[in-house]
Amino acid sequence: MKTDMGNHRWVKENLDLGTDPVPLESCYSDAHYQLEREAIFKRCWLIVGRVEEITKPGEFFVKDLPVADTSVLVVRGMDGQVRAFHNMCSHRANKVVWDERGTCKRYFTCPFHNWTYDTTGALRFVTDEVNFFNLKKEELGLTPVACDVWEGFIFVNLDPRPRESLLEYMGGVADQLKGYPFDQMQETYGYSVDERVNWKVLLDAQNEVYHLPYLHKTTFPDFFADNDHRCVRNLAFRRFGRHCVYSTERSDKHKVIRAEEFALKADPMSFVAASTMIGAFDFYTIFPNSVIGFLGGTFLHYRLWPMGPEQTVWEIRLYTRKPKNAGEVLAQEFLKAGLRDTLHEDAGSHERTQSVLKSGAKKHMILQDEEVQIRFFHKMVDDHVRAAAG
Amino acid sequence: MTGTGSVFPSEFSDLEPYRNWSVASEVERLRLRADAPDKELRDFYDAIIPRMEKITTYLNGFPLGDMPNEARRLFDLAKFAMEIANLAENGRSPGALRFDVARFTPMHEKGAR
Repeated sequence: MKTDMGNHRWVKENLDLGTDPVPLESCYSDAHYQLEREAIFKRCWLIVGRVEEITKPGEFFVKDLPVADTSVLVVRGMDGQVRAFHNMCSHRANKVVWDERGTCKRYFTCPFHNWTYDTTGALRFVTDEVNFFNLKKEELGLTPVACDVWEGFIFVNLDPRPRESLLEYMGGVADQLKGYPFDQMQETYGYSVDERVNWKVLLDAQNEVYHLPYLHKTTFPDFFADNDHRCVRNLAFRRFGRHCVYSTERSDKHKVIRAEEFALKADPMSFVAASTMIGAFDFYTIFPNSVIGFLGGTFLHYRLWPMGPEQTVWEIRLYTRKPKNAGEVLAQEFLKAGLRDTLHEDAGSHERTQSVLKSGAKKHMILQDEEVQIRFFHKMVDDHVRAAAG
Repeated sequence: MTGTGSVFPSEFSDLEPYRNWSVASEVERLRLRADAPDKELRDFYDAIIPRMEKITTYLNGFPLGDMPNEARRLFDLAKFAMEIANLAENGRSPGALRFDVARFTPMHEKGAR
């Protein structure tokens, strides 16, 4: 597939998105943030981890989700099944599990008063039980959270009655990515960055390739196919319900630097695009707050966790094949360094944008056709907020 | 230390002038990269890159995680070359000066996960 370098291509396929400037108020308003928490983060499926994090019965992790006013305990039960619960004791609502991750020996015991639950969430022991009143232990288990797994990604949904199953929610993304060797990949590198930025501003900064030749001129300058005016054009933009992907083609003008030449020989598999890929870089926005970005034989996974209207923790993971020798490690170090430096430049731009937004001097952002992904994402946010408002 | 007085395996003792850049952690490598003059980094890159194939052949002779100390030091020095590759070839990132890279907490080095 070759990139069509023409102008105004995406608007024709996405008439519902229009061409108007997009309002910025939702990127700093506390009132809008409160609506997003209820309409999006308490209703949508959210990725909280990978199955590799809990492979053995009793292994667990805890994900604090201040955006949804809770903490979620995810455990692989003694029966091998992955379950999630609000991390909250039935007695007086303390957090039952205080560690970030670990292995339990069949039971979780609340450190406050020793109430004890098994890995299915059932309440198994109450200290001084006889001194309570009409205690119905069978009704006092941990509160379950809807939990399901797609391609090794563990999702939760805080809606007590999710409107869709996870597979329905993922829709066409699941079909497009069927066959990707997720089970052969490992989380080799990861970063966590606490930023003074709205979660949507953070995503928008990643959600286009228009900026690459400029902001990333020393780190990622000439990787993707551009037109005669050096403007990058998307190879594809596809929508899957509330999710989308954009894809770009590798440029034949890319200057292969010497370290890259070395890396290509030392670990060729890290550079070979998977058969599920559309182009050289496929960037999926998994609504609301995840990104899975495929680059050659590796993939990136971002999770954006809002901490407030103007604060977000950006979790970045780079998955590679497990390196078998020092040469493969060095090749992956090269890839990681380039990506991390690029994201580091992005982080600066996130906070610079956020620092002036509230002035209100600019009330809209002006988007070109190659920024259609941003237009689409903001529409999805608006649609969810409106739908919840009834 | 080996008999040659080099911290690296004897056939790579010519890289001795760069021994201070052989450090075990990414955080430390980034600090060194930030502090070193561009020219020194480019000189190092030009010296080590033509040797990368030989270095890899040598290091691939050991299992990962079980290398003798001098091999481990050479491995760490080669990782530093990967860290500075873009800087050496394309110039220092202007944006990188404006966001503290220490705020990128490397989860792969914390040992917490």
